[in-house]
Amino acid sequence: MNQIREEATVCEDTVFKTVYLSYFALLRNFLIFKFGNVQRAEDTAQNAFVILWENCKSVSVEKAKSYLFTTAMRQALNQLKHDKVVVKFETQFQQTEIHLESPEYLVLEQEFQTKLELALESLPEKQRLVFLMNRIENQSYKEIAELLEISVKAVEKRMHQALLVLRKEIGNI
Amino acid sequence: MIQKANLSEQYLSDWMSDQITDAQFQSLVSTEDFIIYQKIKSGSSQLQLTPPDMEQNWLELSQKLTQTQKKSQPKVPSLWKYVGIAASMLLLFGVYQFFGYTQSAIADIGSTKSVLLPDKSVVVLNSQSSIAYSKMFAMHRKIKLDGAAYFEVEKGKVFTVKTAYGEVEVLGTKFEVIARPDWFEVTCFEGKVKVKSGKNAIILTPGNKIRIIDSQVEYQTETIPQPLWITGESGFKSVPFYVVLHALENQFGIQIQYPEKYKKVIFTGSFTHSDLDTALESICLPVKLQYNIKDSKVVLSETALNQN
Repeated sequence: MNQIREEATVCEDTVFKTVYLSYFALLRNFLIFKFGNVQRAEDTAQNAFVILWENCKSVSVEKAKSYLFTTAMRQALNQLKHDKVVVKFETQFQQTEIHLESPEYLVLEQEFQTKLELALESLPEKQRLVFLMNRIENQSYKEIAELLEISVKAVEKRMHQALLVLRKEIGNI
Repeated sequence: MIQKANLSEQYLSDWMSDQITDAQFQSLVSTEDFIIYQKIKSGSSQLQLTPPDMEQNWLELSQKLTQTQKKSQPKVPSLWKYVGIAASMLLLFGVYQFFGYTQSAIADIGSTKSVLLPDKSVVVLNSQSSIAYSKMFAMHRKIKLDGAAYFEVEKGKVFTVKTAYGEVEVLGTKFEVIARPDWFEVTCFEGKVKVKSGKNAIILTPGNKIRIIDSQVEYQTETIPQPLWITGESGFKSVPFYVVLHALENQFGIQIQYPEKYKKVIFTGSFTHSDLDTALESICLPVKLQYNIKDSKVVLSETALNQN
């Protein structure tokens, strides 16, 4: 039962639940990157799932992911762009090499992490979405292009721009 | 500048996705920039969001669904709808019977258990371990494992072992999987074994093992032809001491108290399954601890020699 036929629609309860478990967190995180507000992101993500359920007959499992993203973005379309957004992160320091983790090293790392988060706030929405979806949600440029309905080239350009902005901002702090 | 244009306009995004190497990238930017970009790359991979409460969100979503359904429902529900529901419940039950994990086997404390699967593959379960699989196993070789087990898989379609850590996939081989709460380990004894956890996957060849303890990933080699516990012993190669003690607790159904500072001492050695005293002796001697057994509780303490 774990393998669902891709052409199946999402009208069945179990299929719908599987789609929810697979994509809810991703969609909700994407909306947090967009709005910077957890409550609103979760509300919008839930609404997208309601709309998916209502139209379940015309959406195959394969298409569910992009359908959810398109729906959520359309809902937010009429609202203003959010260019100055504060996203609250948790930093997960990876314990790769223990001997490196001297107190000074940790402090320096923490300091840089704070700078990075500050710099992220100044990214314009388009660049921020691409950068964070790639870095935090591990979505490839191709996957991001499909979700945002833009070309891979455009995703690469936004990523490049985002890095230029981050580099400049971090230098200024 | 000409070189930059030649390579790619988006050399930053190319480097970020490893389409160009560090060396290639380094030739495009100053050393100072390179260092900062590298920090951005590693720093951003460590950022995370607090994950959503999936149950709470599902609850809220379900409420929204019933609200919208009420609006659009006809006033007199048709009988056919209930017939439909009953039929689909029957169908789901049938599907569960066939594909759900309805068959299971458990090895109790202190014992191992050998299980012959419908496809003639053999699983040997170590103490306090269990497996579950569906009635359609022969068609769909998927098995759930909680604990430690040694597998000898018959050649055929993909054989998947699901654990809390990820999946292990093989075609026909001999291998061991340990999926305890504090310890994940896969050892390949014959053929090839694919270990998948999230988006990462690696392939093990005979004599190699991967181990995850405390989210630390280690690769090691193994020279013995099958796990020691099959022949009534548990063997360990450079693992933290507490992992050894947990295995001992699982094996004999006892509880062990020990000095906190020994928790992460690295241990290599083995213990027998036949006798608790001998087992305790063989793990206490190397680390210079003494033991005291009271009912099902064992207390390890430092010897006078060790305290100084």
